[in-house]
Amino acid sequence: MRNNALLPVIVVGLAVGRWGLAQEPVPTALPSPASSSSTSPASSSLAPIQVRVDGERKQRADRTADTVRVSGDRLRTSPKATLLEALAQDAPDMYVPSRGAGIHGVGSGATGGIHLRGLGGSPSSQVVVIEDGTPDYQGLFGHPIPDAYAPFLLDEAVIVRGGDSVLYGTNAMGGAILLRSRWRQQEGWELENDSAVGSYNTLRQSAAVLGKEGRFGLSGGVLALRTDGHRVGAGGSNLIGQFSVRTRLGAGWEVTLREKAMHLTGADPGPVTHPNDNHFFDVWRERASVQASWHSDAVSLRAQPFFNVGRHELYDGFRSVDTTSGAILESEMRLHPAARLLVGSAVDRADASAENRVTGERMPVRAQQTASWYDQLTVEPVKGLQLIGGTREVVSASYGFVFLYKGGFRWSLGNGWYVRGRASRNFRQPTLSELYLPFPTANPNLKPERSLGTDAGLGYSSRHLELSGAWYRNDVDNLIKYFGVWPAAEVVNIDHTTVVGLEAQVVARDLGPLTVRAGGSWQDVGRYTKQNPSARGVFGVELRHPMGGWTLRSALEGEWVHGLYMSNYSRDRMDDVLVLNLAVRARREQPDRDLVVEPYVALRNLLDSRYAYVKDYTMPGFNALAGLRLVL
Amino acid sequence: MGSTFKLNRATHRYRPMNLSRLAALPLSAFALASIVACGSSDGDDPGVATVQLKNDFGNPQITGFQPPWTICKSAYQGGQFGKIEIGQTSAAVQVPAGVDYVLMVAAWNDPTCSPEKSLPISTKNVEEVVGGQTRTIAIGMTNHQGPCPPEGVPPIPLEQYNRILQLWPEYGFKAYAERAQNSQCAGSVTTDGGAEGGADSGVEAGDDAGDP
Repeated sequence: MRNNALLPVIVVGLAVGRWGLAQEPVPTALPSPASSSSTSPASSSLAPIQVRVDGERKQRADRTADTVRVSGDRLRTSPKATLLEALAQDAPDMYVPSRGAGIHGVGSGATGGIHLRGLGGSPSSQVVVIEDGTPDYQGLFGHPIPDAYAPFLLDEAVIVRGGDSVLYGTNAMGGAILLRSRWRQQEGWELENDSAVGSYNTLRQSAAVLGKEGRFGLSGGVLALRTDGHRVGAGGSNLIGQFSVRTRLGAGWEVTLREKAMHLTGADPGPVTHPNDNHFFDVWRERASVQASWHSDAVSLRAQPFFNVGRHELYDGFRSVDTTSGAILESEMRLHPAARLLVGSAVDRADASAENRVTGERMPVRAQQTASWYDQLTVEPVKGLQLIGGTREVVSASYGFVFLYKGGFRWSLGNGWYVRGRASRNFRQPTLSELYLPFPTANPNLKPERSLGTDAGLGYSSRHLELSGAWYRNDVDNLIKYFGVWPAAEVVNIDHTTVVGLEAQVVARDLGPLTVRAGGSWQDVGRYTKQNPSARGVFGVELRHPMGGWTLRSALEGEWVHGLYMSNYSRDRMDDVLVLNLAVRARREQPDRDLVVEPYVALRNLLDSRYAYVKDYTMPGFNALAGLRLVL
Repeated sequence: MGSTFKLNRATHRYRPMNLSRLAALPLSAFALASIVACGSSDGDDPGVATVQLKNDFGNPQITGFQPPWTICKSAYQGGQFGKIEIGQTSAAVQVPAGVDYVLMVAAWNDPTCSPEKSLPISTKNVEEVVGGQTRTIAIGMTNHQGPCPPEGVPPIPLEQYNRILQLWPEYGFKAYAERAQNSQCAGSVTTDGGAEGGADSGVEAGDDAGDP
């Protein structure tokens, strides 16, 4: 591997033709209660807490995007086994398959691919994950690692549906998942411990500390999960540690250092009809970033270099070490009370080395780097109407120049009603694997995939009721596709596909002790039906009920997946999935002791259904996880 | 029970509709009607692809035994590609885009394609072409299957076998249940019958995230 991965950090200084970086939109649908980090443990009331929306977040908002915001607290209390599955519970047009209780894995037999509005999936490199402001993807294969995400230190997650490569760069074709870690807002310290034990010898332990002392803030924690799995070979372990420190330097300056490391192990159990024998994977990953930001009344500035390195080993001898690195420089200016301009520049570089440990063969991989400039203009010509336009220009030594753009509107009609629409030109650059690795073949001359995503929707929001519906269409060109088998396989840019869909959600909130959620999506994905279901429904009933000094919280959630195939062209149809999960939590706050005690149980697959998202990778029957959360 | 059910009736009182709402509602209706109207996916016409077939049974990248199949008859997506000797490539044929097996009659170590040396074989996986594509599909050791494979290797499925019998009845192949009694199957101990293990791309495998 080349050791000039810090080159982008240097280049960014030269690339400030225009300033810039990306941004997180204000939610437009389904706002949820904030995470507990917004308050001290003792003051965490049972009523919904308003999410802290700081000036930085407001300024970056693209309110024309179709977004769903889910609080970290809601994700932590979900009965779903993994973060991405829990997130998909709030977005019917997002589909995340699974193969067990807590481990998605990597390599053959892995699940956890993110499908958003008919794009993404296998692998999920058409959906980008932005974690604390920086893109997170594996350098060699270009997709996020599903097991790398856990909710224990998450403040909130935002699903940006429909893609936005102007703001988020490569891979944001189907959409973007924005993850933001939490901070303590009040002075003092907070310790949190969560221990759980469950079926299949599952043990989960997380410990977190959040503190704020004057100008300094600290947030850190460790999550350990291990399970035998519901069948031989389905077990594994995730060990994730992360910490962030930040300090306010005065005069509007703030510096934040973030660090996250993980060790993921497990195996591909294989189909139940032909189980595998120890098809293990062993993954180490580490990511770090430094963010310097400055804010004034009219201008904000952010610079954020990042570095992500990982080592992956597979049972068959494959070993890779990959890096992604880059930097983002961004500024937003208020040009007028009704106009804001965001400009930014970004550089990124993906590099890797790969070898076969058995034969000693090293595979020729060359680094890929890009530089890009982007801008976004937001105007409000009349009260309630927001118009947005933006462009991004990407330059790469390997695939040349790419021009991206977007435009959208959101019109508040009064009394909680709004209408919105957006169109965006997005792209995905070829992965190093597609360019160079012979699995089964490679093509160093591949060009990026391109898509035009359009959507329009109508919504209503009040204290107790939220309605939203959207129509969407993704036109994708230059698809990177594999044909044939080794030794005569080929991978080329070819084909066009169109995805058309409808999505609708309703939330009836705080109806007495109940909150009811339901949503559904339908889509026509053309011939690309592999793991791309045509319909999906999600529903849930949440109960919040005080009982003496305790507060009972329970959530009954369900998911229905229809039109699921294992192959394109509607071949190898799977049975519909219908699964119900239940989480029950009892919370007792003891302000005099500054203590919160919260025992809980998650009951999964209540109906004990026999189902599978991936053919012959059957899901567990009824299983449970019980734990105790303590906050000091 | 501590209910917090308080529907805010204040928000439901009558308010005169303002101009922006008057304008926006028909605009919204028109926009939604328009986008639904144009919201069809790929359409019914899959397009046309230009395809050649290559007899790749002599590919030097394959180490070890190579079955000496001469492709005597071949068809894909309704197009006929004719006879293809080892190492040769057929003429280009335009076919509808889509997925299908390449169906063949192949003769074992016999470039003359005598019926007694011939067997029905097909590709192991469906092959895909998309509209506008020019593709050469190579048929070789790693992606073929036939009626009398080595023990433990799945044979050609019934559907493909019967399609080959319908396409080329002049060869007089036996019914599927008696496929191992075809003369080439029964008469030679060296035949592989068209299906030995080999590297598979895994592209069509049942993985999801798929990559390490």
